[in-house]
Amino acid sequence: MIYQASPLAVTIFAMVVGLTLGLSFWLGRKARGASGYFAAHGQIPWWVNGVAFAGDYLSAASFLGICGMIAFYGYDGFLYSIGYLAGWIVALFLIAEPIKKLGRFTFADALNAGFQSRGIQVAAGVSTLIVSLLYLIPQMVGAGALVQPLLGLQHWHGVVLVGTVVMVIVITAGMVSTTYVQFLKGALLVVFSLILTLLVLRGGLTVQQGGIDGYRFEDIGPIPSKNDLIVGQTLQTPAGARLIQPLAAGWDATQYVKLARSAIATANGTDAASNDTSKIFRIESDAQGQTLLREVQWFDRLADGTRLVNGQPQGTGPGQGDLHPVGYVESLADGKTQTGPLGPIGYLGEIQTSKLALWREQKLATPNGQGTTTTIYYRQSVAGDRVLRPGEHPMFSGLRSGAWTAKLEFLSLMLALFAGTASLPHILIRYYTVKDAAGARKSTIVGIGCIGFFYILTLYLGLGGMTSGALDPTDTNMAAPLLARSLSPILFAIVSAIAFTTVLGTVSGLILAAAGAVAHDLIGGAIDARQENDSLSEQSKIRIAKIASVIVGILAMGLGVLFAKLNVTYLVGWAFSVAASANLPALVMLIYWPGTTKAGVIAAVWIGMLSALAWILLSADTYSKVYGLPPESALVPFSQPGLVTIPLGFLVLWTVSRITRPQKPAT
Amino acid sequence: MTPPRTHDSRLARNLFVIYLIAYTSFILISALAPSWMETRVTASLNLAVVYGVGLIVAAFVLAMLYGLRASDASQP
Repeated sequence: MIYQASPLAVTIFAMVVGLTLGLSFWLGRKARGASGYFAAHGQIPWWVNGVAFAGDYLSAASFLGICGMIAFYGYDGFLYSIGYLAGWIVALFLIAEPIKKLGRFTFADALNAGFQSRGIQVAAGVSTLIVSLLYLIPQMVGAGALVQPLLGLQHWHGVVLVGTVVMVIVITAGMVSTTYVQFLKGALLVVFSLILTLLVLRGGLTVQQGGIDGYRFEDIGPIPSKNDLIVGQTLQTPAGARLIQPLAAGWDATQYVKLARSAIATANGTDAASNDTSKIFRIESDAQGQTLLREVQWFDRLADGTRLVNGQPQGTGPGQGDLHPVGYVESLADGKTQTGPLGPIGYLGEIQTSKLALWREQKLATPNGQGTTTTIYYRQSVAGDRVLRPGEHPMFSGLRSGAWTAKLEFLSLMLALFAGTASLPHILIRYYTVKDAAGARKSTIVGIGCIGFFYILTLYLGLGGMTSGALDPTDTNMAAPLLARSLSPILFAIVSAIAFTTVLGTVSGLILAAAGAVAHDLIGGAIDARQENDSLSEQSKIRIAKIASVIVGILAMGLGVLFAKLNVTYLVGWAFSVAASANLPALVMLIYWPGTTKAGVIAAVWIGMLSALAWILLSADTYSKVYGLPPESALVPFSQPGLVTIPLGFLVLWTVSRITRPQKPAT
Repeated sequence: MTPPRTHDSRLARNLFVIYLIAYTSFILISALAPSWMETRVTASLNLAVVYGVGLIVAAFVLAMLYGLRASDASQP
């Protein structure tokens, strides 16, 4: 879809972003030295840190990705909400207090606390760097997705904008400012999500035949027989006799039929309408076995880069066209046409008994003509009770098919989400910004409160998007901002600005974690090891961290442009899997199993990290979405590594520790 | 390395196991018996919604319970 910027939106956007940044710098102006730069002197109040956890954790993936997935597929997106939140239980009950007692700046410190091992420092530093980079990609992709509708910019502009602003934050200020950016953003995100939810509930549900641009999609039928659809003949429709036109190469004539947009002038004059624009319909059978024709939208990208929408050049001028917004209620229970304001339970109840128009896409298998690629967007009428159960998204549909690989895939993903949260380096470093273990515990509880509340709201934001008539069929990530735009342009600007600061907050945390790993664990550790008495001075450690931030930032921008088309939720899954496989076994065993040895920790981190990465690179998802290879040729049976590689990390740690345990019991 | 086995960490581990069981049951039902998730629990809500939202609420309830008990325990 084409997005046009409004001056109001741009102004509000600039104000919110400017205010957040200005306030953060003002609050963070007193940071001094390495402990100030990396850990905010350990002086952040626990309640600020708790909200900052929410700001750190509720990334673009949570806000944009989950809302988008719920808006297009229903409950399946909410599965992510549940898994992401459950991970905090691991953080609170197993990790928070011990890790605070063990470490100083980075989680490598905590792993290394009893060993003083260079090997642990390097392994943990590398894993921090890799997980942070993997997590940065979806944030950057999300940033790009945001600026398109808001500021009318290209995707890569958003990526560069975020990258630059964040590098400025991290270079000039460090952990104190970053914490306050995250605090403000976390608070704003929860508050405005609540406002949006209340507006969605107040608006209730209304039956529509099309999106908010007023366009009505055409249904024809039932028609007597599929066999009557012969090119060159006419079809009687309520709008008159319409010429059946030939489909372009690549379209399946048993699934689609192309009709002239308007009726021909006379029943036997076929030439008058032959130059008319066309509509394409998907041929469907209803429950009674009758044949129906339902209008679709389609998008052609020609070899020379020209974009055609529904056969016309994409644009807003005369003779041009754009995709119509979608996502609406087709019918409500008892033949109602609207519900009026609803309560939170009543809303879900009405959805459950409604019928919804959800849009699906189909890419034509072979690029037809001269390198043209075509994507078809078609309607599916889905009963509401199907939307509120797991298994509607292609990724989860295997749950209902009975295929065991699909079930393992699902379990693997949910395990990675559960185990990944407490292994994310940018979350772990936040435990060093509070004073003591009690502060770590209390801030985690505040974090769980904010994050859990937000995740319950995602259900309403997603379903609100699904029924808003405002969705962009090409981009699931835009559901939440477009929902806001359908409610009010001012709200749209505010929500987009918050989403943008969301990206800023998470990205700054990630870059700081990565830079800390480089400066403190990798380079700092190397110099400490070489010159026993002359360890790296605090100032040069900060300088190295700042240089590392710039390099990581530029790398993340490049990757953000490269992976622009992937759903951000899917990308975040990678980061969680690798973090959980590499870091969780080492952290948990170190804290709870006295038999853990140095070699055991090193082996577990490396093998967990590399096996998870290798699994992802060889998976069907990566084959089809990144390499463009047929997914069947993938080398691993399912795409999510967690179910195999997390237990593997524990097993490696246990085995290696048993082998390398010193003869005399260590005291 | 092991932190002292205080009241806090025993409580933490018990609460963790409770949540782990609830979460594991949820994902196992979703994977192995997805049709159960469609069962209406109340007049208008199915098990998927009630259990899912319930897990989020339960996380907060357990966290608060732990927070209150733990700060009681650390009082002199």
